[in-house]
Amino acid sequence: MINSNSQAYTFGAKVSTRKTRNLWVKIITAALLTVGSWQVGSSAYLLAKAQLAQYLIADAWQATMKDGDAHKPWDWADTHPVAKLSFPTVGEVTYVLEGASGRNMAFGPARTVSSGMPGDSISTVISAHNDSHFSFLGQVKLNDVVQIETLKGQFNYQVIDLRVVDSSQQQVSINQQDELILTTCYPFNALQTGGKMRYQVTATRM
Amino acid sequence: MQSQKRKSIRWELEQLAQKSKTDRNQAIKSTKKYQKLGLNWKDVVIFSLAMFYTTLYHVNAYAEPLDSSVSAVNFDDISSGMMMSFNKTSGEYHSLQLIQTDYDVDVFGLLATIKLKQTFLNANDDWVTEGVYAFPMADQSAVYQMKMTIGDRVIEGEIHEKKQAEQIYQQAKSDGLTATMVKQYRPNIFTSDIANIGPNELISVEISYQMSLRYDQLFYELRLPMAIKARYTPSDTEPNLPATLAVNDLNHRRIDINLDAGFALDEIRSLHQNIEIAQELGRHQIKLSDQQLYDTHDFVLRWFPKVEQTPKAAYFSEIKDGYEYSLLMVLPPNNTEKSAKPRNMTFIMDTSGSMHGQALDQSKDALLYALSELDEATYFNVIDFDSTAKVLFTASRPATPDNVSLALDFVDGFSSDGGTNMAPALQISMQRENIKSGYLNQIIFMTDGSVGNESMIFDQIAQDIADARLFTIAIGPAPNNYFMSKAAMFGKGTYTHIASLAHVNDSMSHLFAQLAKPALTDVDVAWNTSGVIQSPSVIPDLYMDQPLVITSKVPLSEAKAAPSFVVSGLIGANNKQKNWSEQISLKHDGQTTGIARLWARNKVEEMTDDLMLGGDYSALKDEIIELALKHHLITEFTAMVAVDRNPDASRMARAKAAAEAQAIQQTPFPQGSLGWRWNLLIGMLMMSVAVLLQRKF
Repeated sequence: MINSNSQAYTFGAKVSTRKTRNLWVKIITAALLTVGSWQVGSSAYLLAKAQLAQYLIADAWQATMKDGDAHKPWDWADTHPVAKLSFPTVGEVTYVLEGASGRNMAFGPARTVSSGMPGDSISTVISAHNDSHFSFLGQVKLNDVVQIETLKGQFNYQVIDLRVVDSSQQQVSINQQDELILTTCYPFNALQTGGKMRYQVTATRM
Repeated sequence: MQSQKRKSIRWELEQLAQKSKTDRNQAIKSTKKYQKLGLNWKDVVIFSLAMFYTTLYHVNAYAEPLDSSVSAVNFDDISSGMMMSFNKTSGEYHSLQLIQTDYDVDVFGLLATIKLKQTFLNANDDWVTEGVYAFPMADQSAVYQMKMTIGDRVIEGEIHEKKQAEQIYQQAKSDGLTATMVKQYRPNIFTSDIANIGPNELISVEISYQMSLRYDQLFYELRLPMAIKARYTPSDTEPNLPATLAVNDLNHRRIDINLDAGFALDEIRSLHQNIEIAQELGRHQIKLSDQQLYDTHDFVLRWFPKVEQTPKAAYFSEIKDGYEYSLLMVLPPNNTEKSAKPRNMTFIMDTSGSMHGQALDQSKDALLYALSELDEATYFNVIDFDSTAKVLFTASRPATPDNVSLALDFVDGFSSDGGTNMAPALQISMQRENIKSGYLNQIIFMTDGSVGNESMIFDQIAQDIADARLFTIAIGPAPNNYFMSKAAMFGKGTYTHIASLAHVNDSMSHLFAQLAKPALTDVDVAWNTSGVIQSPSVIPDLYMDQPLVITSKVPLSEAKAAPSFVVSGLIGANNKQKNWSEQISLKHDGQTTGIARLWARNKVEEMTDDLMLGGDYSALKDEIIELALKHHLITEFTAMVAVDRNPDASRMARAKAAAEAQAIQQTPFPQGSLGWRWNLLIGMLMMSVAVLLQRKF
């Protein structure tokens, strides 16, 4: 007991010299570098995951179109692609996953399970992140055509409404008509996440 | 001395333990401190910073903002396919409240007429476009009338073919008219769909039905089920259960019974609820004491006639549309001798999750009772099933003490979990290994009947039963009575209900007495008139204490003023058969209403059985529809619908506007960004600061 106490005391009594200040700087630098690269790495990881996953999902969708069965994009996935979404005017193509959970949306746009599918007389709701798969959604204009391909065939929708809504005040209405509702976060180039505002694009069947 | 020694040893051990503990603690303390000093504490800083940012990062990437202000209902709590009324402007979810359920029961002899009134309240300031309420119905009931009351308007329901009723209802719903549709989902589960209920409006739906009462040697029984139990449907069959949507049951029940038994009573007893009884002029008024429903027990009322008053035969009839319809009840004489044949008994026990708790204790008790009653000449086997079936012996064995003790151990090990997958267990019980020729093969099946694939099970029983007999024992507070009695009917046996742990011994000893005595077979009724259509057309074997109950229809031109019958049957097996026959002459009645409906209901049930066993679908369906429409019966193919056709114009418009304002469903916005930008920026910043620091020093 006494022994260890004395050691602690010795250390505490050390006067801060230039040597220790150097040590401090080294420590801080190391810390900043570690955490900084961690941050950069994790955002790169998120982005890479989001981009690479689309290739696997595209393969799974090809397989689905071939045999009509659901195919998982990777073995441990708990979702599968249900549609191919194209924006000819913006020149973008993405693959839609089943179930709009946070986990699925890290990999691609996702369909809200309680909503409908194109061709049914019930709204189809598809959501994605504004800094990955729906970063271009702001470029979609009124009267643009959105194409969606499902197992039932190709469906064309025309954009009739663009709006920003406060998600703490409103929810997505699933109506009894064949329409496509695309949602993402708003504003588009925000640094922070978790805001209340959402961007909603509504398109009706042509 | 001994204790002293033990004490001292213990004391020493404790001392030792104490010592080593303090030693070790000190050691740990010192090394900890030492290490802490020597520890590269920048590691600690880096580690904690890293932890801090990781947490931040997780919060950023995965936390979905909570939209707490929107609604009281969390969408995760709503199962898929559920429909809630959501008002776009007010942002609220609406549901109807079932504020009161009233039963007004009229018992006359063997018949009960029940008026079931459900009162729904829309306690919101907005319209509720639709609510669906699923409720249990007494089995063997003939539902013949429905009335909807809004304010002071009473609208009588009309009977239609189900598809047509559905169309009328949907049309009314979209037109903004208040409407109700009552449908049968299962023979003992019904639903009410109610459309367009105004703000703060009361609507009540009254259903009238009739049933013949269960009669036992000792008592009459009225049973009103109070709750639907969840049913298990094996994964390979289509689940098809109704769900209560947008209706909240407040569990208030009022039950009033007007009992005219027709004879002096010894006792009136309610099995599960407290009742108040008042008597006037040979009638009894029975009331439920506590109107709040706390559990799911069926309401079961039994009345016991004075012994010398027990009627041996009863006859009621109704004259309607040129026919005389009658209900006949005859109690065969009690047979005192036991069966000559040795017996082979197979016990099947349900240990699925729904049996958990009291139900499992009850059935274990019942099974232990049964095993203790076996004699060595009797063969037996035990099958236990949940999702899978386990069998005690590969083939049935004699009930020697050794085998019985094996069985007792087997039963003792039962615990309840898993699904209710009956088919494999039933199959094993009816296999060759468990059936002995020259023996009375009796299968005793203990379950709560919580299955969804009823008709498949019935089909299986009817196909495979051969010479064996299936006896069902219902366990638990609210068994699926329809399943239990129907399974016993297809298995040519009887159905016993054990109401509670206290009744296990009574009920089991009664069942064992039934099992031990030969049944009355080849029962036949010969009428003194011609042109009789009777239902059931084939009379089942009658076991001890079982009355013969049949309904019949005779053209009025053939009906006699004093109907008489010869009821006959065979007692005992093969060479020891005895004939029993009895001539019965009864007074012409013609006064009881509802016998025609009862006859039609029985006929429908017979045809439904044929359907389940693979009869000609379209022909039987047409026949059922025709009969049901004629007698105003709700069946599998017919439903009742009531529409308020003449509301004031503004009401209709308001309802329509409300329906349009109500999106069929709402869902919160999913999260909208991945959140890599912030992390990237922070990370870049930190790294550049680090580089700067390095340069400066």
